[in-house]
Amino acid sequence: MTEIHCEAEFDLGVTSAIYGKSGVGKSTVLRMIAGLEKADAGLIQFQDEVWFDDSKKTNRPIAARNIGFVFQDFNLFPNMTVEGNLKYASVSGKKISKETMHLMEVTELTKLLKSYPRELSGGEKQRVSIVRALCQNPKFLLLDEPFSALDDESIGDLMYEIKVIQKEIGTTVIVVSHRKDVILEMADSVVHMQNGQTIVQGPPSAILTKKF
Amino acid sequence: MDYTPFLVTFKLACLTTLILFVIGIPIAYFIAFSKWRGKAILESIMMLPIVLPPTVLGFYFIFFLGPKSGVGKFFEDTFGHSLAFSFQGILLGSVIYCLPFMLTPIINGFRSIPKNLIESTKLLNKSKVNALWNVFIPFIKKGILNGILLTFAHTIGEFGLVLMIGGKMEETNVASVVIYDEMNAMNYDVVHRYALILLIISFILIFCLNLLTRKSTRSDIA
Repeated sequence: MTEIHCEAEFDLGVTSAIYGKSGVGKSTVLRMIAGLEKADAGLIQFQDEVWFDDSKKTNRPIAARNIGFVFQDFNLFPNMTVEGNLKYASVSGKKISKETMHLMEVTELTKLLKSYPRELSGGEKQRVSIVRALCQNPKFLLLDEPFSALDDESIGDLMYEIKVIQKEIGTTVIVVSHRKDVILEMADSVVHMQNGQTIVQGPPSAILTKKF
Repeated sequence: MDYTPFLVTFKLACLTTLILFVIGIPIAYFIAFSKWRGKAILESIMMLPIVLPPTVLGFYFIFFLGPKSGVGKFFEDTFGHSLAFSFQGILLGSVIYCLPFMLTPIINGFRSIPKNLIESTKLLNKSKVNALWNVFIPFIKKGILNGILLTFAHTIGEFGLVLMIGGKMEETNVASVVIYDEMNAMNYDVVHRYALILLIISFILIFCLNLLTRKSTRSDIA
């Protein structure tokens, strides 16, 4: 079993990235922030809210953290259309909110509302998944290797969508990726992990051009 | 020709399938997702009827639920007749015997749900019941249908268990037992007719099962 030590601070309203080779623990860190995995020790705090603190045996449940999460794949529920996925993801579970519909419009995805996930390309699925992850107005959006299964053109579309959404609603985004080019393009800050540890955090242009 | 045995057979198959459908989904969900350490033992007990000879199951049914047992006496006092040699008795025996045929495809279905889908429902603050109804059951509907068809087909073909628990009373006289009796009486014409009808029904069920499996394989590859 690999030990992972991560120290990081993420600013609100910007895109931060966690970078490192496959298997270094980036996704595990993201999952711990979301509450999908439990850390052995340490502190996870969002502004004044303590989500995890092993010294006080605090571990806030997943739902109480109110986080949007997009996995590398298998995000959308295959038995529902895009519209069905968005309705189910809403707070009521039955109706798409005006805000969500507006996001679908600015990201030019409304034409896909009646489609089932199996009818969408990989890029379209990820783009819809991001909008779905925002249906309950989460505190921030976690993206776990969202670009891994996509071609370059789809990656470009997805990055553009994230920028549009961030400009539209000021979402805080934390993205995990092993691709330097993507992080250099879209992130304002990056945490570089190596051998299960945080090496450094800072602007991508400074961090990702150095060798560690 | 007397069609009553077919009516008894279908009644038994329909009720067995319905009962197992209702109880099978929560049991399968528990076995598939529970972290309880004892669930391997529970699962083994549930699957025992697959390997157990029907006559063994029938014997233990009579032993534990027959007229001389505590449960049997309670049933007789409450309902006025014993479980053994009654339709309720063969129904109970059939439900126990067919449990693995309903459970196995549903458990496999639940276990095939991608972890990300399950976690997505938690991240969206959906309760377990809500997620089960809206996401998981639709995801495994082919497995459920598989379980329903297998259970129904298996119940129609039951012989040893029904004979031991139900005997040959009017309300427990299923088609497979009638075939056995008519065979012993050398009434081959009657046997032919009963056997052919059962054969056709069984073929239709297996054909449907095959179509379902082939459709699943094709859509998985797509």
